[in-house]
Amino acid sequence: MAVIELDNLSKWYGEVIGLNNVTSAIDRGITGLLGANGAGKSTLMSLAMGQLRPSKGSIRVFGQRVWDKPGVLSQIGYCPEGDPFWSNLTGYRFVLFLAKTSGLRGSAAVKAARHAIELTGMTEHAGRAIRGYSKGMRQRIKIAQTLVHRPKLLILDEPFTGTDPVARHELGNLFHELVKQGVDILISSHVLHEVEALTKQILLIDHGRIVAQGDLQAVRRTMRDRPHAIRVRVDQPRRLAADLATLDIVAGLRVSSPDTLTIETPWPERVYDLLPNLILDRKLSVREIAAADESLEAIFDYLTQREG
Amino acid sequence: MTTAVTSRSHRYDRWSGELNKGRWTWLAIVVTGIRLALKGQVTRVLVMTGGLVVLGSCIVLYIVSLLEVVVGTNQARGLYEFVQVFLRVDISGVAQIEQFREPLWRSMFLLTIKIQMLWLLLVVARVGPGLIARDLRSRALPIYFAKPVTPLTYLTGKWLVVASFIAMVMLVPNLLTLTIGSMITGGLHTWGQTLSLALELILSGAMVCVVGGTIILALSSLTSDHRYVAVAWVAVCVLTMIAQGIINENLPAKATSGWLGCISLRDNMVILTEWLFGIREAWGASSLPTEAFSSVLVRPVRPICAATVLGAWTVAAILVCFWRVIRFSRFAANL
Repeated sequence: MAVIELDNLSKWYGEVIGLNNVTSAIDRGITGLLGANGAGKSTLMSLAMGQLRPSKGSIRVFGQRVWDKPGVLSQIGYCPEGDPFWSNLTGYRFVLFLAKTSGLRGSAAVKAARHAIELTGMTEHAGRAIRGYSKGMRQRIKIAQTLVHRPKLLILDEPFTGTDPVARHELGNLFHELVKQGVDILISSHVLHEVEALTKQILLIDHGRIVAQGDLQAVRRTMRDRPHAIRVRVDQPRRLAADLATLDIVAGLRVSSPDTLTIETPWPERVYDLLPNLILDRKLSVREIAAADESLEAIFDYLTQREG
Repeated sequence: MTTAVTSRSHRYDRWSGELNKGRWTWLAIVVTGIRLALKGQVTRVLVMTGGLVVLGSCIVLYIVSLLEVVVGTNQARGLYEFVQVFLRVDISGVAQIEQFREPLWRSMFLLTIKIQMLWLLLVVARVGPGLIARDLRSRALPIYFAKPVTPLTYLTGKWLVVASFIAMVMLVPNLLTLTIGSMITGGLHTWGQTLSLALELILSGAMVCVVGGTIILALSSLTSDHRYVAVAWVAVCVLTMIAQGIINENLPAKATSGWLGCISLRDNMVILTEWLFGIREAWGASSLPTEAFSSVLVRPVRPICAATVLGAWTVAAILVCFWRVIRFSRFAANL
């Protein structure tokens, strides 16, 4: 069963379109929600949290409608963007407070708060006032409150903002561990390589519409109208280019540096089959053959037409 | 500096109990709100010194009870003057003071409440402005409403924070004073005699909580800068008092007995408290001449007018609160 189901979902803010007639299903595991500012990511997250009423269509989380159903929220953990803190509180009090607003009482709330703080590696700093926290610590304590009531779905809005590489790595580990234990995660980010490092499952939104969804490489393969780029680092790139130029499966060739040839082709599989024989015949020395544009950023640029 | 965590330490123990479906979330909001407010030293001082106002009340009650005992003696002369100065009631020559116990006590509590209301102006100005404004500033509303918290629960929790401070400064000290006064005066008879006064004190306190609490919350929901809220709150209270003063000075008493006499929030609450306490009727029914107690009475205004004005303020404040909070939680926070 899909975790989140969107059925002809639209949301308008007066004349501004937040989401436009979206039908989709978000599967289990980690899904990266991508899009530029104003693309509709926050709107989709707020709709999934039941904080916005759909203008048209419906959204279901775990098969249940979420609008005006606070009960469903006990299964969801939400980490908003920004700093939603009362800075005089200590990290522990902040998490404990949100444990209590989640419906936990007494010693269960205390235990849950301590556990969530431990999960995010904040135990040492939990007794300090939040106003003295670094940006990374604030992100961690925010994630701790997300986990405090042990939800089945996490909705994380830009959770890596301000974190250092070590913290990012550790939070990434934590998210993978949570997924192994049956938690599903919808994560939004502007920083594409962060999402790419975390998941291959993406949902790309632009101007209120889903422009791509699914496995990163599968998404890339559907882009038949745009040639794939294969980067070959070789000692004699011009010689290899001369051979490839005679093939009709090659759409373009570019020597981008003295030892790098970029091949553009709508049929990358056939080029990958041919390349070893060509290299062996010409006795070339190859250091790397790699897809040049299967990165999330390249796909993002292409699908949202950022590139010319 | 970051703390190292390994993936081995990530044991996500799934909650196996029942989550309480938000029935007590308001309590968490109240406790956290009070805790945060009491972190301010100024607030703590205001609350403690606010409670001290009733020390004077206790002294007055003690003097009145002493007067009941020493009436007719030379010692009583100075006590009569004390009562006249502090309660503005001339009971010199009255032989049986206990007959005037109820109006005297009620007048004393009315005077105390008048002073406490001025103190509350400061306490509420300190505690209330940030309640919603800070949540708006830090965009914390989405985090509340990501939990099983409805706008009604949220506003109830926030209102109870203000109400708790009003109770700390006004209601609880007054009830304590009443208890102490009853103990000083002695006997179950006094308890029975003043039981209705306890209820009236609770009603009076509840009125201040409802009116003051909703107005400060409404103001707090209008901006994300709590300093503007504090200024607006003081302006609403003080400017209406000044306006009322000007009107009272320039118009005859008859003209200000209706709507024109109901401009000031504080005066309206005092008028309704006097009406609740039944002070005018109690003194009127006594054998004392009018001039002996007229100073203790507040300006004659129809209580229905004062109640209507306060009711209108409260309803408007509640509507503003809901409009703003729902708007921010479900609309503006996402744009």
